[in-house]
Amino acid sequence: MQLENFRYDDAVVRKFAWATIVWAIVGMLVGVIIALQMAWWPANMGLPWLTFGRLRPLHTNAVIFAFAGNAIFAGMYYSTQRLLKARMLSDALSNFHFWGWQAIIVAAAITLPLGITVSKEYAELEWPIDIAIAVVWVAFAINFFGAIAKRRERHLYVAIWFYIATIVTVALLHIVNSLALPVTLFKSYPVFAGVQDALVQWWYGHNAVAFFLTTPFLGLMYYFMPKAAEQPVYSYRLSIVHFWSLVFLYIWAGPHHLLYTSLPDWAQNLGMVFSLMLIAPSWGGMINGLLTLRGAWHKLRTDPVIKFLVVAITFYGMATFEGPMLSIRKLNSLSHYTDWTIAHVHAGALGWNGFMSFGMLYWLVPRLYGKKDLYSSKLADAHFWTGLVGLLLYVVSMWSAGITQGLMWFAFDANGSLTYGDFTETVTRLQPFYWARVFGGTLYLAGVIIGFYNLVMTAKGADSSALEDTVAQARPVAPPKESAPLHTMLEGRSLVFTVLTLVAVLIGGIVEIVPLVAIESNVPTIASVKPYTPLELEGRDIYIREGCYVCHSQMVRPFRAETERYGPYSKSGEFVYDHPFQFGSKRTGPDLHRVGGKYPNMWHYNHMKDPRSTAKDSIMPPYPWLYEDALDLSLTADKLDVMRSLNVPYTVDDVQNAEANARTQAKAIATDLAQSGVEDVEDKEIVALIAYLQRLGTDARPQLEKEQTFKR
Amino acid sequence: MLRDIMSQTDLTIGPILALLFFFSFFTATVAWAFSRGRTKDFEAANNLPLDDGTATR
Repeated sequence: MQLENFRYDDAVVRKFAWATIVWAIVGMLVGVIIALQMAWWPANMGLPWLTFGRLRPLHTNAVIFAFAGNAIFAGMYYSTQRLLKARMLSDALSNFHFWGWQAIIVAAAITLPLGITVSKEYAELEWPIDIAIAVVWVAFAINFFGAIAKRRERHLYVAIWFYIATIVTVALLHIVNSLALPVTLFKSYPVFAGVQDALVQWWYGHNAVAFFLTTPFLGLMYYFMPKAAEQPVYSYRLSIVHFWSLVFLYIWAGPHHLLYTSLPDWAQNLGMVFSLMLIAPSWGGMINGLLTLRGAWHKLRTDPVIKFLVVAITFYGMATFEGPMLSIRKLNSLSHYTDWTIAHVHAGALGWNGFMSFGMLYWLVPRLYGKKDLYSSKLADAHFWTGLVGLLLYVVSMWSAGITQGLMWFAFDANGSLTYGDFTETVTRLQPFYWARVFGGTLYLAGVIIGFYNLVMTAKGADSSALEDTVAQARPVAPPKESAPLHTMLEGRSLVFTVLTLVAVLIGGIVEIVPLVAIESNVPTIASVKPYTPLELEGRDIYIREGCYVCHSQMVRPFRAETERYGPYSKSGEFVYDHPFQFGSKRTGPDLHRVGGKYPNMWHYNHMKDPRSTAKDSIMPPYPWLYEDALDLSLTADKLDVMRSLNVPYTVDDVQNAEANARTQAKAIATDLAQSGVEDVEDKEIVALIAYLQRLGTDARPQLEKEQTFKR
Repeated sequence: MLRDIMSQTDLTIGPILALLFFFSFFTATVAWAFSRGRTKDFEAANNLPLDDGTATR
């Protein structure tokens, strides 16, 4: 066949590359701000849109979807075209993907600080943005698979497999986890409730880590590591085993986020066992990546790209060892809800994703602008060392904080009482670690800013000829013969390959989620558990808006240390009307599932106004606007109606009288507060929040106190 | 409907089936990946990242 001339689309790679570094600075700056808020609460500024509960989701979304997202797209567009010897299917789709994705990020950056959120971690965005994500993702998929269809290379290199797994699985996860019924443009309720919603969320949440932060980056590793080392991957055979084991195992691991919660044990055990097995493929991949440098280790001393990539892969190895360990139930009982988890994710995000992205950018940008080298390899070294030191400070301080707090929660004195019965004591002890984190995070961010400057100077003054698309030559491929070996057939038929990948990831999801949703005995109902009143539902929405779940769990685990501190441990039947679930994943403050009835209304009133008035050393921000803003009940009836569609047993009367019932309950609480001298709160948001908090965990409590062997 | 059927089904054989399935799939993948006949194919695929198609072949 004749050689064909064609051009790679490098312009879109440049765009994604710059978006990567710009969003890195934005996302990490927000990270430093919220780290400061943990060390020094006045940094919350008393402004709704600057409080920790609203900024933390912005930070995670910006780093995961804006920074890491743009990085993988930059790397994927560059490597896919070259590995397939074909331009992407359509420049229009490439541009739609780029601008659509940036628009989604901007929409997230506006809505999250406004408190417009679904509250499901890493899936907080409301339904119109979710639909936009799905549309952009489909455009990306068409563009990508279109390029595969017109490729001039028979083999699909292993990096492409990882990209295929990414595209297919992220679409699946996003759609299932975002299923919701809208109330308005900015408010919706997920279709799943309680423990089922939690399982779907963490099936999504863990696989966002797997298929957004791992598989695409492994694809990048399998492409850019050989590029930088100038030799092929250590073992292609190992990479095949790596790929299939990883996609088969990863999808099952989600329940390890719910160990010792009221998720049924069989699901917890599945999650733990599959998480443990994940060490094998993960370390296979790590070894494969590192040994690609065989015989070229001297480059580690001189080449900044290699430095970043090697440290990235090393952190991949560390994080994928730590992850399975933290999935062991016993160890998880100590680490869960503490900063240990935060240490773990930042080893992954800053070490693996961050360093991988920067290594890739340092390799890409000179080539995209026709330069031989970086503007300054000394500056790249400076970035490397500030980044690495910052990262280590971050991780070590959060390990220390997590283990300290975990042990304090479980400590009993000689009399059998909790040694640290006052929760705030376990938080103030962490302040030095929180300051160390602020310092570490700032160092890391400083490194990124140095990197940004270096990349700008590298790109500066590029020839206009260097900005033209690269010309390439290749021969078209003949379709595979019927007698070709199995995998050649699979590679030749990327559709079959894609379907097999989809099957691999579907199995885990179906086996875990369907029985939990479909088998009644998995979520035993409790007769005394009733739906929230209209006012409580409004209060719950305020709880969600303010991101209370970011620092407070609602899940008492079955340990004596927890039943002593909080009350009877939580049962799955207590959450059947919780759309969405509010289990939380971190306790910067105490668990709230049994807070209902624990304190008088006045305590809550004072607490949200000035947390230090009720807990001297609390680091919680004040919420002054809850006392000024009028409670909006105009949507309450619609909200109940949507809940009714989701099988929450409200009657037609309940819906019709929603507003009136809410007002009656608000008046009762206001009257109670008036006895303590508080005037004029009947129509304020705080009343709804108090109503919700006072209801929490009370329905089943009398029965559970009788049933449970842990006596108070 | 699904709820009725699944709530009445005995699913205890599931784990055994899953174990067999995973084990055989993994064994098959390893056997296939390390079979001798594949060496040439893999070498060709493995060199792909180093060939951008930008130099005339």
